Amino acid sequence: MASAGSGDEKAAAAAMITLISSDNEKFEVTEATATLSQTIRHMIEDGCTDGGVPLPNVTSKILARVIEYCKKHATAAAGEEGSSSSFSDAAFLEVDRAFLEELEEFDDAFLEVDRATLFDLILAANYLDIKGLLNLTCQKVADSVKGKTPEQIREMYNIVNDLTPEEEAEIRRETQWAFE
Amino acid sequence: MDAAGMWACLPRDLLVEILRPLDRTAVFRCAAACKPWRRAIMRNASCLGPGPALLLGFFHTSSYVHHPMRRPHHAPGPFADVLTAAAVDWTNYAALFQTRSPAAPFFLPPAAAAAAGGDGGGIGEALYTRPLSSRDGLVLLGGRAAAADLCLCDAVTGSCRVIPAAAPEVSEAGASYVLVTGGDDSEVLILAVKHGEDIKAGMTYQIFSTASGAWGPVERSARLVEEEGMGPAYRNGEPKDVVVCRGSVVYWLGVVVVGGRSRRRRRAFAVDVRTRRAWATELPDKYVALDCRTWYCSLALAATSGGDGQLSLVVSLPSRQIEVWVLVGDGDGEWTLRRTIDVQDLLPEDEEISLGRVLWLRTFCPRSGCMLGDIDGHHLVIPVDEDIPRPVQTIIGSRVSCYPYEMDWSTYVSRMKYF
Repeated sequence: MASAGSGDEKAAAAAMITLISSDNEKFEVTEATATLSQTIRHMIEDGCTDGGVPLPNVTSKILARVIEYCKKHATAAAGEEGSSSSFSDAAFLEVDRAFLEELEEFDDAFLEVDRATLFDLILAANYLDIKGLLNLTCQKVADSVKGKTPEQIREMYNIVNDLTPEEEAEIRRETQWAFE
Repeated sequence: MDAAGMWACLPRDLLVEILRPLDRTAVFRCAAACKPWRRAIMRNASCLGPGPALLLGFFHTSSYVHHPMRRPHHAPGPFADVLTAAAVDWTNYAALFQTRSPAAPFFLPPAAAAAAGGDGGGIGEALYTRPLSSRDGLVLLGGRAAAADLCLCDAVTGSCRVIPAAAPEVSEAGASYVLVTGGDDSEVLILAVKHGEDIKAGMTYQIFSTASGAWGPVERSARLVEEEGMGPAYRNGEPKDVVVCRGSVVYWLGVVVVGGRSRRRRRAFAVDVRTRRAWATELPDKYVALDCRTWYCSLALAATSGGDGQLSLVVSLPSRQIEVWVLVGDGDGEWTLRRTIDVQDLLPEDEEISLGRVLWLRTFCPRSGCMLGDIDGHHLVIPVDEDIPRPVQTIIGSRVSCYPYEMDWSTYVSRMKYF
């Protein structure tokens, strides 16, 4: 609610929130960055952010990455808003495309992480309810299993095969068309 | 490095989120990775693997004499041969045009042989080799003798159930069978109708329910031809001549002989297996008379997809066009030409099809809304429902009596083994 009025937008943007990771590290972020997380947005709306927001499910390593993502996307969102009012249509489209391209590059680079980090990012995105980040990370996993055999999927994600050879044979028989 | 088992223990809703954009093949492969993933997929099937129903192939017996009747093999599964012959994944359009394999040989579910008292060694002596009807991935198989026991097989799980033969009054001279699903839970009804009788004054039939595990009494339907001075009436018996509409109404194509002469009129006959109501339905005027104008047309019954499931008539014309007629409205509904499909466009370009050959309709696939037909040795799967795109698959095979192996995605997943 604090950032709703256009008059105090600047003040709202400058308002800082402290996020506290599970290993007790503190991160100062702008409210615009923090509110990409619906979970934190609700906390702010409820006025329970004084003294920092403890995030017991997120380590400092992962929180740092999540904040990196939110900062970029919050800036992009703000930039887009600004551009829509001050440029002509053509220029707006141009700027818009540049933003999107830059954002895409950022996302690609952001996803260059090991599988364990990717796993933690999915959990954090889910816990913090950051839709964009959740979609991005889930899509990364979905893309990686496309066209892979169950063996390859297991190897890639370090999944222990808990199916007996008989069960595996049964599954193959049942859905043979998926394995051809 | 990942902690072992970390990904296997991914919260279920997140795994579903990940799998949501994937096609069915990828989803099935993930379901074979580990038990937790498999369980998550089975419990959330409704929001995974979007797309139309699965048409996986056709159960069939070859009647082409030059085709060697290969004996079925044990491994790897009861319907493996059928599946490899014509596995159609509607989500993978590119592959549809490449699938070209010989028609499947006879098949026999090993479990059927075992259930009938064999120890598995007697599989060569096939007991149930004639598909009689199929629906939602189930296939009803008949034995060699006309009045022998039947076998109801679930092609997904491979499980089989021996069904006693229908009463002699119905099955003695051979009967037609229709599987009806979609009622209460998993109840399957088998409608057995006496073969070859004059049905003018009514049909003789009997209904088996898997819920009660027994055949009901032998029943006689109401009179099907009311007009005076009509000759006998007959029900056609090919797979293409029967369709189930609105979950419980079984329609057959048939003929009524007019006035004792050889003039014949086409008509559809119906029995509702839930209410036991029976009646006759007129066909579009154009196709009522069975004369030289329509002699070379191939007619088949179909149903529109969706909850209403209206009766449709598909007509393949010598001009290589297919007309799809729909009966709009109940009772005295009106036939409307819904769609015309040009067959010529669907034929493979590099193949020469003899002029004058008609596309013969073989069977309708109710779940995927497709019609199987063949022309000059080429089998085509043609969507007759407007809402579905038009991929066509050609299977090189002999003239066969086919029953579709297809079901809705959720039906398929619900049959998968839970490990």
